[in-house]
Amino acid sequence: MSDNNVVLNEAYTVSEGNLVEARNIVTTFPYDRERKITAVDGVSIHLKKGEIVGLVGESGSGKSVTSMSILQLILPPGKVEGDVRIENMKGNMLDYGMNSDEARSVRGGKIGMIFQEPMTSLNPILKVGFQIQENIITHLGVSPEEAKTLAIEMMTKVGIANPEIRYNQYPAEFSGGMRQRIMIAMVLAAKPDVLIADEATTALDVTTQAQILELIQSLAKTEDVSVIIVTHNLGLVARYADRIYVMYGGNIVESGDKYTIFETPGHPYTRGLLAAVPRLDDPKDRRLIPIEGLPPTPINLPKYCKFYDRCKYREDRCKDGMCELRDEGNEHYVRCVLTKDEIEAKKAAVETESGTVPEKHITDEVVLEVKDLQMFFPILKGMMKRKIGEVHAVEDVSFKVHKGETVGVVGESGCGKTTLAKCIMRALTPNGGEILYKGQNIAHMKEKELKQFRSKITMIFQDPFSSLNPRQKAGDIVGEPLTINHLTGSRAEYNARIDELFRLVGLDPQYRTRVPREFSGGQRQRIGIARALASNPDIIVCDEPVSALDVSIQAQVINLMEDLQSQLGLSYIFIAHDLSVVKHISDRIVVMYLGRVVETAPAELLYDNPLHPYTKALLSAVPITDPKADEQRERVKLIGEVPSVMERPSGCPFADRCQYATERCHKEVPQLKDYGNGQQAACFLCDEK
Amino acid sequence: MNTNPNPAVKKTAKQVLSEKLTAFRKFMRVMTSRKIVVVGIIGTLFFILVAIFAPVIATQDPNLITTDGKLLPFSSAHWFGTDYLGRDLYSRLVYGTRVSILTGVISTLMAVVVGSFLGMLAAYCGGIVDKILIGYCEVFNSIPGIALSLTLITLFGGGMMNMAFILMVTGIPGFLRMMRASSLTVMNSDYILAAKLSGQSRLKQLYKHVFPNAISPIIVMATQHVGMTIMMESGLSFLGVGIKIPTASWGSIINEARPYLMVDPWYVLLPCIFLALLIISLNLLGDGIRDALDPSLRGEV
Repeated sequence: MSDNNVVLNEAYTVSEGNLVEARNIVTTFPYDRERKITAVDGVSIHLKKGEIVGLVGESGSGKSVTSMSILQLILPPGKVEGDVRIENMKGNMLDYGMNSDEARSVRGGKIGMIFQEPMTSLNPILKVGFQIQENIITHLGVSPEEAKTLAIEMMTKVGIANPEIRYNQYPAEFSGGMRQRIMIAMVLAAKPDVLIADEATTALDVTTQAQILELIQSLAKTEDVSVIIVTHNLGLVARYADRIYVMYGGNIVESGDKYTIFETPGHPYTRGLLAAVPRLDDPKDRRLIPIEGLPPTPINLPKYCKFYDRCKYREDRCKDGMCELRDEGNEHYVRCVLTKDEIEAKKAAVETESGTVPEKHITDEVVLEVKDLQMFFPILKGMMKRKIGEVHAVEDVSFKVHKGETVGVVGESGCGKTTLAKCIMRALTPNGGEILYKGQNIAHMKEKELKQFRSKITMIFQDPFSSLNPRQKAGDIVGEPLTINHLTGSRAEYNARIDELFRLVGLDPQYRTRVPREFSGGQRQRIGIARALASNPDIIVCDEPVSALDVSIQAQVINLMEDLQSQLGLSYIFIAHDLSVVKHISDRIVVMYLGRVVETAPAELLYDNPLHPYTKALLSAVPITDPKADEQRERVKLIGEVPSVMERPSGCPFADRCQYATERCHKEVPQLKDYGNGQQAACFLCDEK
Repeated sequence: MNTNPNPAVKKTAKQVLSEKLTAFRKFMRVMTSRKIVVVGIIGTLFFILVAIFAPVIATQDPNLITTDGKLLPFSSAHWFGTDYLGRDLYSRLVYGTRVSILTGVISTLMAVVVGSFLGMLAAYCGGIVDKILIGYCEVFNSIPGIALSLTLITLFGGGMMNMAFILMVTGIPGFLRMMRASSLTVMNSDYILAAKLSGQSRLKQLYKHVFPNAISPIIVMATQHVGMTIMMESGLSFLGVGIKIPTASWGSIINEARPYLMVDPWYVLLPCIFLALLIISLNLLGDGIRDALDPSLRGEV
C-alpha cells in the first residue's frame, strides 16, 4: 500500500490494519516578514497495528516536528497542513482545533508521547503516583481508588521495585532512567493505541537506554501498542524498530523494512549515513566516509531534492523538480530520481573508497603515565560546611599512553571519565597518585611550574558552542595559546602559524576574522581542534569531542583527528560514552566503572573477548547498524543503574549489578590482573574460567 | 607582544567598516522592529537635546524673577506661564531637564562602573570577599532606598553632585549582584577552562573572556536604571532635600507648585508630564536594547 494517492472522503478513516495515517504534512513557522521555515515538507507516514516504526534523521530533519504535528502540538504561529487520519475517528484530525475535545482525546488517550527530557517532563512538586493517577482518571474516567490500583499495577509493569512506596515519592527521588520509566507508565496507563517516543533515551546512558527500549519493546507486545521511535541513532532503530522512515530536510527520503534499509539502502543519503557511522564490528582499519557539506537550512528550501548539494550521485535532472517516493517493491520506497540500477552502475565511479585509516606511528616511548590516580571530592553539609564524607570520583586509576597512540576511556555517566580528564589537564589537583609527563610528575605542581607543560597537553571540548568565546574572532581563539606561551616571535610568524593551523583542520584561513556564531557546529569543533594543536602538543585530551555533532559531521571530525594523529604523531586520550566511536578511533580502551578501571585491553581484543562482565554488558548495550549481525550477538543484560558515587559498594564496585557476583565480590575489591596480550581486568571470576 | 595582531588575510579597512555598519544596522533593525521602541528612542533623544541645548532653548534665566506677575497663564512672553515667584516656567523646566538627566546618567554610570567591578571581584575571588560584598548588598537591600537616601543627604548635604553620589551608592548593589551572577555563569563556560588550560593568567581571563561576555545584561539594566534614578532624584527634590534652591529641578518645581494645584493646574502638571515622558521613553529604550542584545531575537541562534 502506498502512502500517496488514496482517494479521501469525509467518512474515510484509515485503511484496514492501520492505526494512524498522515498524509502530506507540511509544517511551517514564520521566520520574518517574507520568509518562513519549512520544518516538515510533505511527509506521509502510516503506522500499522502492533508494529514499531523508527523515524530517523539528523538534527533539523523534521522528525520531531512530524510527530508533534500529528498530535497537534505545534503552537501558533507555527502552522500544520495536511491530513491526519486516526482509527475510529471521523475525518481529518487537523480540521479539529488543537484544543478541541477530539484532539485532546487523541493526545494522551489514543496516542501517548514520551519526550527526551525525563528531568523536565514530570512535574517536580507532585508525587509521581498522583501524576499517573491523574492521567488515568482523565482518560479512562475511573474512580480515584481504581486509578491508584491501576497506577501501581502499571508501575510494576515498567519495572519499578516497591511501587507502593515509590507511588508517594517525588520525581527528584528518581534517577533519569527511572523517571523515563514513570513517564512510560503514565503514558501507557491511559491505554493508548500508539506510543511516540521522541528521543526518549537520548539523554540516558547506553545501558539504561537499552533497558528502556527493551521495556518499550516488550510492553508494545503485552499491552498491544504500536510504537513510533523518533531518534537520530541509527543503531537503535536497527535493533528495535520493524519498519523505518529516513528523514532529510523535512522529507521522507526512504522507507521500508529495517532489513531492506540496512542491507540494500536505496537513497544516496541513507547510503551515506551508513558509510559515515562507526560500527562496533568494524575492521580495525575502516575509514569512515563522511557526507560532505551541511544539511540545508529550513528557510527557502529548494524545490528539488534537498540532498542535491551533498549528493555524490547528483545529475542535472535531479533539479527538475521534487520527485515522489518510488515503489521498489516489498514496501520499500525511495525518493530519488535515479533508479536502483542507475545508482549501482554509478557506484564504482562515485564512491571513491577513501581506503583505510592513515598509518599510525606508535612508538614505545611513554608520553604520559597515570599511576594510582586518586581524586576525592568532599561532601559538605550544614552552615559550617562540615565535611561529612568523600566522593571517590577517581580511585587508583593507572594507565600508560604511548607516543602516537589513542587511548579510549569509556564508561557510563558518573564513572569518573571527565574527572580523570580534568586531573590530567590539571584543572583539578588530584589527591593522590602520579601523572608522569615524559617522566616528570605534574600531579602536584604549582601553576607556575605547570605553565611549561600546559602547552604540551591540550584539550578538545565536548560542546562546540560553549567552548569558544562568542566575542572573540576565530583567529584570536586559535592564536591564544601562541600568545600566552610566547611561541611565535614576530607577527608575521604568528599569522603564518594561524593560517597553517586553519588549513590543517580544513578551514579556509580567510575565515579567521569571523566570530564563532558564523560557523556551523562541525566547523566550530575544527576551531577547537586548531586551538588544541596550536602549541604543538604531544597529547590531546578529547572529552566527548564528537558527541554533540550529527552523524555525517561526526565522521568528518573523526577522520580529521585520525589524519592529524598520523601527520603529527599525536597521542590522544579519547573520552566518550559512545563505544562504537571509541572502538573505532582507539588503539587501547580503558573501561571505567565508579571511578575504577575495570578492564583495559587493545580495542580489537576488547570487542572480541571482553573479560569483565561490565565490559560485556556495555558492549552488548550498543547496537550495530546491521540488524542481522546485531541479532546474532551475545547479549549481557545489566541489572539496575549506576549507583550514586556516594553509595559505593564495599567490595567490587560492580558487584550489585553483576549477575555472576559471588560473596567474595561483595567483600573484596578486585585488582587489575594481567591476562596476556595487553589485556587487564579487575574481576575475580576471570580466574575461575 | 601584541595579543591581538592584525590578521594576515586581512579585510580592507573599508570592509571592516562596512561589516561594523551592517552589525549596527542589524542591531538597529531589531531594536526598531517594535514601533513603540522608536517612540522611546525619539523621546530620549529629545530630552537629551533639550538638556544639552538648554541655554539656547530657554527664553530667559531660569532663576530670574520677572516683574510680569506670578502664576501667569500661557503667553507669548512666558510660553508655559510663570511660577509662584514670577519666574519663567518654560525656562525652569528646560534647565530642570539638565539636572534630572545629569544626575540620572552620572549616578548610573558610576554605579555601573563600581558595581560591575565589585561584582566581578566577588565572582573572581569568591570566599570571604564574595561573602562581604554580598553582605553589603543584603544590608542595602534591606533598607528602603528613600530612607537611606534621606539619611545620606542629611549627612552629606544636598546639591547635584552629592545627590548623584548618593544615588550611586544605592544603585551599586543591583549592578553588583547582576554582574556577579552573570560573571559566574560565564566563568563556568568551557572557553574559560580552555583559556585556563592554555596557561592564561586569571586576570587576563577576566578582562579578555569574562568581562565582554558578562556585560550585556548590565547594559540593559543601566538604561532602565537611569529612569529609576531620575524618579528618585525628583522624589528627593520634591521632599525638599535634593537639589538646592533656587536650582530648577522637576521634583522641586512639583514641590513648589503643590499649593497652587487648584489655582494653576498646568504649573504642577507640566513637570509631571515631562517626568513621565522621559521615564517612559527610557524604559522603552531599555526594552529595545534588551531585545537587540538578545541573540535569539537577532536571528543568530
